[in-house]
Parts: sequence; C-alpha cells; structure tokens
Amino acid sequence: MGKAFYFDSALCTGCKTCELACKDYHDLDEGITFRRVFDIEGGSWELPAGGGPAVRQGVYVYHVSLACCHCDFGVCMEVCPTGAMHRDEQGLVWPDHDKCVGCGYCSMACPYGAPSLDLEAKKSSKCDGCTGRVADGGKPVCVEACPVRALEFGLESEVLSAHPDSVRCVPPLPDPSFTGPNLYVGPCPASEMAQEQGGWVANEGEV
Amino acid sequence: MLELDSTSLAVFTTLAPAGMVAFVVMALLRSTVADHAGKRRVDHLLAIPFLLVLSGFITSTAHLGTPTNALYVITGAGRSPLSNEVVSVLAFLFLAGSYWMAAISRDLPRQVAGAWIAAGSVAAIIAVGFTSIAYSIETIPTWNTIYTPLALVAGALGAGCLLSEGIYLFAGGLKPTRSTVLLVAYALSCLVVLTAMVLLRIELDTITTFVAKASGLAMGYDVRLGFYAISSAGALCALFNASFREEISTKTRLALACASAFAALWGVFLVRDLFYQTYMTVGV
Ligand code: SF4
Ligand code: SF4
Repeated sequence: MGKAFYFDSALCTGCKTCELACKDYHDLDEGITFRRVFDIEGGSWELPAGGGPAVRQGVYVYHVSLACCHCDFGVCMEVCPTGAMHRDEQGLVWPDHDKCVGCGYCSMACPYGAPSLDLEAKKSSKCDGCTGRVADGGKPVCVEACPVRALEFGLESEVLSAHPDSVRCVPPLPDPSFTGPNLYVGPCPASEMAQEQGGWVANEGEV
Repeated sequence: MLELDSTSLAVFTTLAPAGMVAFVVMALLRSTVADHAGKRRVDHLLAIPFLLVLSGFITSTAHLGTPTNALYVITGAGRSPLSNEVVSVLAFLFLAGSYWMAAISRDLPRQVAGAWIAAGSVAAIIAVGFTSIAYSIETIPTWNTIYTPLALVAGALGAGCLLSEGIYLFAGGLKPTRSTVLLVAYALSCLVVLTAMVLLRIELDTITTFVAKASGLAMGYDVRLGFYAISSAGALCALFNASFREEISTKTRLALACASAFAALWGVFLVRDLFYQTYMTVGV
C-alpha cells in the first residue's frame, strides 16, 4: 500500500498556514501555489414571515485544503509525452525537470488543478509530497505546519485505520474514480450539506 | 482555465491535418495522371501541403516552455496521446519532405515514387487519426466526446479536398467530374463539422461540476459557428468560380484559389479555437 494524505474538513479553519508553509519551504514565486485552500459556502437564510428578530438560516461554510493527491492512476502521467511526470520510489508523483518540455498537458488534464506551468522555469511544477523529507522519515511541510492538525500523511493503511469514516471526495473534488486520489477526507456537516444542496467556491479568484 | 497557449495549438490543428489530407488526396489524384510531365508538376506542388504541415508544426512548438527537451517526446512514442501525435506528424514530415526533395531533383523510378508517396500518405492518415484523439481525455468531459475527433477529421477532410482542388489548378486543373467530387466533399465535410459543433453545444448544457457549468464556456459560440459557415461558403464559391468559369483569366483563377484556401483554413481555425475555449475538467 502506498502513502496517502488525510484532510479533516471538520477541523480546518481555513487559516491557510499549510499553503504558506509550502510556498515558503519550496520557495515558490507569487504566482505559484502548490497547496490551495478552497472556501466553500452555501445555503441561505430568511426573515420570519410575521416579522421579529429570529432569522431562519441554513447557511454553511467549510474549507478544503488541496494539493496533488499522488493518484493511483494519475492522468497527469498518462498524458505526459516525455515521461517527466512520474511516480518516485516514495510513491509520490512529480515532474522531472530534466525531461519536462513544458507542454502543460499535465495541468490541462489534472482534475485537481495540481500542476501548473512555472513561467520562469518554463516547466511544470507541482507538489512533490515533500519527497525529500518523506525519504528522510519526515512528513510533508504542510502537514507539520497545520496548527489544528487537520492534515495528516502516512501509509494508506494507517490513514484508513485511523479514519475509517473518511471519504475520498467532498465538494468541490471530482469523483475519485477518475484518478484514484490518495487523499482521504473527514467530512463535516457543512460538506454533507454541500453534497446535497450544492454551493460555491467563495474564494475563486484566490485559488 | 486553460494554462497553455491554445492559439498555437489551434493553428497547428488547423494547418497540419488539412495539409496531410491534401497530401493524401493529391497523391491519389497523381496516381491517375498518365503522363510523366504531369506527375512531375504534381510532385513540385506537393511542397504546398508539406509546407502547411511544417508551418503548423513549427507554430505548435510555441506552446512548449522548453522545446529543447523535445527529444523525450520523440523517443516516447506510445507513451501518451501527445507523443503519438508528435511522432506520427514527424514521420509524415520526414517521408513527405524526403519524397519531395528526391522527386524534384531526379527522375524516380515509377515503383519507388509510388511506394514512397504511399508511405507518406499512410503516415498522414495515422497522424490525422492520432491528432483527432489526442484530446479525448476522460477528465475533460467537454472534450471527451465523439464530436472532438469528428469535427477535427471532417474539418481536415474538407479543407484537404478544397486545397487539393485549388493546388491542382496551378498544374492545369482536374477533370470537371473530379473537381465536382472534391467540392462536394468539401461542402459535405463542412456540414458534418457544423452538425458536430451544434451537437457539442447542446451537450455542453448538460455538463456541470460543483464549480462550473460548461454552458458558460460557450460565449460567442453561435456567432463563431456563423462565421465558420460564411467563410466556408465563401471558400466554396471562390473555388467553384476558379474551377468552372472558363472565361476568367489564369491570374484571377489562381487568386480565387488562394482566397478560397485562406477562407477555408480561417473557418477551420475558428472552430478549432472555439474547441479550446470549451475546456473544463471534472474537478476544480
Ligand atoms: S492530483 Fe493531478 S497531478 Fe496529482 S497525481 Fe493526481 S492527476 Fe496527477
Ligand atoms: S508540462 Fe512537463 S510534466 Fe507536464 S505533461 Fe508536459 S512534459 Fe509532462
């Protein structure tokens, strides 16, 4: 069994420390973000019919911290014409810059929006699961930075036994059958409402 | 939003498939030319489809961030739809280019010329096939439809037939029945492209994800299809006049052939560009 991320949507406060820790650790430019935190909102509210102060509401908000899911059958690897996008011995997926031609097909095909073209290097760049840290027995920097421990990383079997109720998809994530993501998510009441009623990404311009 | 430079890809997928189909059609028609001088005239003119494909291919490299690593694409045949597409187009360029250079510089034995040009034609058919399926990616529901290869192949077939008819005018023209077949093939192909794009438009309305509705990608869709229809009709009219009106001068005839080729390729480009604008994934 490979390695997997776990994200607890009930714990995440949307503080984006994971995102910034990643940018800092990987020394990413302004325009590139490997981990992005989606703010999902939905529902509505209404004034009581006969007046009065009590507003009835069914609004909800939750966050999804998302980076590459190092999928079992990553479409990024399937479409890459050079073989640059590959899985390493840690089971983590990342582009070999010596081979990458910068065609952008990986970013085009990935339904998690994980790879992006580094305009300076003119090559694909994305989360490598902090493969160096993992090889040394450590954890990805986002996991260690999260102040509420909403992110975890480990062997898929360990993740699953620690979080048996986790799911592989909450909105806005795609159906896991497409790529087999190694991401397990702890759902929350808000994500369940979004699943039933729909909602929207409130920080679209940011992610 | 699509990160890559889709305009250069739209130029490539307009010029290269059309040029390759034109090569195949010209090669087929060449086999019916009886006299040696006539065959040689056609051999010279095969430079036009070859150059169209070459210029499309060169333009497509503009979307590569690091073309110096392109060797890994070439050595990766079979690895991905894109590498198959690139390798097959390169095979065509090699076979067609080498044939053209050999054919114009010396008299090739009949069988050698026939085998060489047939190999180029087979490479062209394979390359058009690979190009048409390079965008059938499961995670891009707006592209992963039958309309993607259908519109590309039909557009290439039509433009290729029209280009062949126009190019043959430079070699004295074809028999009227053959010209008619090519012009009818062009008109029918345009109808197939229009039908495919209209059906895709209808399908877009049914594709939604949590973050996006595909119908929102179709801004200006109908207007563009209208421009496609107008430029295709213009191309057809211009070439019809060039092919069948005997009273016009050779200069006018050739000018009409060039205008019709431009209008036809412009129409295909509009559809290709529209196609890239319908990009969205099943996810975020
Ligand atoms: S999330 Fe995207 S980039 Fe990462 S492995 Fe899956 S398909 Fe590839
Ligand atoms: S940008 Fe690089 S890693 Fe991505 S598909 Fe192209 S060659 Fe592969």
